[in-house]
Amino acid sequence: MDYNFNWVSVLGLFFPISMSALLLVQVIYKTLWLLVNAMPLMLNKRSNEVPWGISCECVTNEHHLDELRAIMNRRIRIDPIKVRRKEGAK
Amino acid sequence: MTPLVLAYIFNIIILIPIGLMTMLGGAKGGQLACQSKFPESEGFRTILGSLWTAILIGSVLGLFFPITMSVLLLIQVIYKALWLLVYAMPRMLNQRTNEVPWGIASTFLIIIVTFPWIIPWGQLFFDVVRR
Repeated sequence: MDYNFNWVSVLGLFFPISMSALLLVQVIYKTLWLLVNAMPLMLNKRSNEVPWGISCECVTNEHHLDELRAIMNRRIRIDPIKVRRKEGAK
Repeated sequence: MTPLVLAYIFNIIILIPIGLMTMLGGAKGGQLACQSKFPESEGFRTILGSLWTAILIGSVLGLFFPITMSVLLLIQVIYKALWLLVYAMPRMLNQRTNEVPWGIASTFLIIIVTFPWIIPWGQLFFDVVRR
């Protein structure tokens, strides 16, 4: 699944703000996977069934949140449809 | 209502049952979602279910921030096109069409044909730079 993100991540080198929503999707799906798959296995003492390579990568991806907060604040402020709505409201 | 918002609504309608069923429905839910065409694997099923649920959450955000989240539509087009190319098409060409889950394949096809017309390419890639 991550291979698809890798392709679009290349675009992120050139359009970092436009592609930043992808980081958010990555953080969400990796967190969900840790919660629904890895954590129950660990709690049931079946940690040998957890693929630790993927799990560690998911945990390290959580650092995207800080970068994302900064990027999304800027990006959301300039969302053209939101801006148009605000202008319409005025 | 813009076509962009309609695309997010389409995602939400499809993914509320499919995404949540794949992620939380156990082996039975996973088999239902893939029409029993894929062998059961808890790990891959939950990864796919988590990805689809994340796309669902992203689509809900897209209703409020349509341009910001439109890159989500782009990654959907890319990964669905890749899946059709590397999984569905070889099977169709080798007369093994019974191995292809047609529900997933036809939804993927609809998305890769329609979303490229809906994605606001100019705003997504160039407006931010210009601004």
